[in-house]
Amino acid sequence: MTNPAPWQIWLAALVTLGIYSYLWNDNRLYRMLLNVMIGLGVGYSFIVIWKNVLGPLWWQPMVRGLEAVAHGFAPGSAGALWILVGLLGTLWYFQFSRKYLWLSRIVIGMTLGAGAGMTFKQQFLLNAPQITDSFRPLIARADGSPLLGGTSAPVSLWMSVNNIIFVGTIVCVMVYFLFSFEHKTALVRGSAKAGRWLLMISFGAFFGNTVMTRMAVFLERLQFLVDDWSPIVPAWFWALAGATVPAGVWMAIRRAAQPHKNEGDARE
Amino acid sequence: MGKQMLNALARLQNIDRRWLYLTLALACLLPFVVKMRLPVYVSPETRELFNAIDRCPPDKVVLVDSAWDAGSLGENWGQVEVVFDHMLRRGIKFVVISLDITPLGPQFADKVISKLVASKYPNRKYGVDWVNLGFTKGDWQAMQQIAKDIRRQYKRDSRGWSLDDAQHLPLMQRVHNIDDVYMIYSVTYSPMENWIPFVHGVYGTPIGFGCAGIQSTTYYRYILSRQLVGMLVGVRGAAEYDALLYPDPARRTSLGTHLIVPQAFGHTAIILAVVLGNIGFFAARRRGGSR
Amino acid sequence: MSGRRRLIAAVTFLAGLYYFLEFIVPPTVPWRTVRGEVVRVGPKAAVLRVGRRIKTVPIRANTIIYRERPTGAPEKVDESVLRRGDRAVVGPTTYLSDWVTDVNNFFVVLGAMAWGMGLMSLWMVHSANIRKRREEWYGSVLFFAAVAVGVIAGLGYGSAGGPLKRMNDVVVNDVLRPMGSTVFSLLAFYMASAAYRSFRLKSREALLMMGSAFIVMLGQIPIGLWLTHRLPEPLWLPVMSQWILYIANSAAVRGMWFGMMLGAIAVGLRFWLSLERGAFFDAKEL
Repeated sequence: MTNPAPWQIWLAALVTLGIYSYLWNDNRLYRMLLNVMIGLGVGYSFIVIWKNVLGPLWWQPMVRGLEAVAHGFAPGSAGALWILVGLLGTLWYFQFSRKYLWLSRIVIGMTLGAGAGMTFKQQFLLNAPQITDSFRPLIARADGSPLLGGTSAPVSLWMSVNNIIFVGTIVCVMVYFLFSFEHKTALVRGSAKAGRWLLMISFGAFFGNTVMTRMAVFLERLQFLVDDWSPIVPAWFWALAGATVPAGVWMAIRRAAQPHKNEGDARE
Repeated sequence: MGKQMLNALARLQNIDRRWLYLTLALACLLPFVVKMRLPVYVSPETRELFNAIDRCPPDKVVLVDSAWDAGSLGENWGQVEVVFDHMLRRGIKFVVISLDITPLGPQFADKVISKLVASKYPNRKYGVDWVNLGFTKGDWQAMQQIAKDIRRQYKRDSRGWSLDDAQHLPLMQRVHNIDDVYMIYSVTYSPMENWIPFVHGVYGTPIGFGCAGIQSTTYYRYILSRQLVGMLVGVRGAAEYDALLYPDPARRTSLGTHLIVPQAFGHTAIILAVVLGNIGFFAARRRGGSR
Repeated sequence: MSGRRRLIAAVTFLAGLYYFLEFIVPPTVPWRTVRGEVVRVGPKAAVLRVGRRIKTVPIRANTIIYRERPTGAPEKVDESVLRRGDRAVVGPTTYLSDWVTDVNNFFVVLGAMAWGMGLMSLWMVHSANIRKRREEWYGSVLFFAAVAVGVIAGLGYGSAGGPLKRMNDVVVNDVLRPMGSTVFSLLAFYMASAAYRSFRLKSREALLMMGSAFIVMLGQIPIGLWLTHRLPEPLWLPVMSQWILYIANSAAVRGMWFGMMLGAIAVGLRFWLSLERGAFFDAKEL
């Protein structure tokens, strides 16, 4: 694979900076670029899904089946039945019709039904090992095995404390979420309260990881601008940017500081 | 504390968002300009994944489900890059697929592999050391098909060659079903959990994930129950794996390693912003006019 | 219930019924299935040890054989693959599992058939913008131009070379990829701004959440190790972060998922049996 030409890097950098202009304020350039992005994505995916899925899994077997039928029901004629799937698939598009909307519900219903049927198997296979793993020994050995019937590893206080916290957290969180019974007794209320506190720790962990993910996306773009684009930018461009950007920012701040022209912080 | 001081501190909770954006951008930009290295702590889930891939026997392949695109490039590029680097270096054969999620997945995988081959492993050949089968759809149905007979899901690779073409794809002549796969490494923003019940649960094939940080919190439970053999979490997962591959920091070139220090600065900037906001909040409350 | 509703309920039920039965019903007829350890195998019969007894099971056209994998999960095999000592299940098929691949393909293709809906929907919106000359209607013209370029570029997908492949590479690598990444990266700034404005220590729960967030955020980056590496190892930020993720967070997430599992099964049943109510399901058109 060849390295991109300078004009390609410029193209990528300009669309990147154009979208980042939104951070200053919503603007026309940003909206135009969004239209371009959505259009390109939709058009591109349209062809790729045909090439990767519908072509090999539907069209080709169907055409082969029809050819076999045309040759006097030769072997492989069953493939012609895919034409029925094609007809069924067109029912999706009745979503756009007020009068025949109900036809699209047929395929939606089929998809929902299949998904619901799969849920039983999927949930069982996914969560059964989780359920069995949750029954941890409260007094555990260093390798995680129970005190009674376990291995010869020494009893570990750290492992036991962790297991107690682990099992206790699962129970308390489940008690917090179960609304089928009233939280009347002190034990249930206390467990639910503990569950809420433990959930806060979990949400904090969620937040921490969310920040990591969001930052990573920005850093990749920053890396492209710094490592790939900035070396090919001529000096006069930096001089021009250095002169116009701070001036533009200063003028915008002055305009915002004038009370009768203040647009406010409407976006947040 | 004097009223003037309290007023000044209370203003800390009203900083214009654009100053925050600028501070965040400059904090992240600094490590790109001033090169610095910080020690990397290798987490257990990264180490387990590294060890699992390292143990791949020569007669099996690793199946890599590389189903990511631009939206998660910052994290997933590094995660596939380090694993591809590991496999190309050790001569572990691998087959790349891209299941659901995005039709652009195969192209990004190709780009990562091409860069590695061009820069470090020019003797590795497509069709011999790795094959990219391209994009397909089908979720758990496709997983079951691939496990039973890969040729029922894929007739051709991403370059258009038939899987039975021994001249162009000699590797695929010995890859037919799950018995020929040593483990599966699924890399995307949020790897499909269906790999676990429909492949690991039935065939016992080890599964590893490479995922965005935001998704990792829901996958740790699978590592505890040994349904996942290991996991790379975000940028740090890639940086940690790179540290295991290259103990000498000067030899680490993955995207994860490049981005971990700017990431550190970015996190620090956000923590400082939260602290400043709370200082302003408490100052305003003490002054008597909280937000 | 109107005729239409009955039809939709019927197809919904039938679609789910196959998968439900495929999960519940054994792959072989239970009262004619033999499960045991293989003694010997021939083309017309298999001899299995069941407890202390030896049973001979005929192998016919409708007989299927499952060998137990080390995980305990069954694997369908031919009689030629069986070896002495394998644990096997032999019996006449119930046919349900035999059709899984074809039924799977059916639903994959059926789902993929909806792929034109996104384009149609956008087409309708943007063509209305142009027709009625709404504000910034030229953006819709740009949209259509971009769709055309995307379609042409997509024709180069999977090609070995040529102008279409070149166009495909430029559109994907130099336009789509950077734009997509950049739009997602705006979230980093929004997160920073949102955290700054709304993360306030107003309660003990907020303190717990913030403490956990700071430990995880600092533990994920080298600065966390740099700040605490002189302390005993259990007090290193990365180690504390790992403990939160593996023990506290995993347990809480597991508790949440168990609840969600019950909910998913309940909702799945409601969808399957068409018991669900709401604007979509109770629409007047039906």
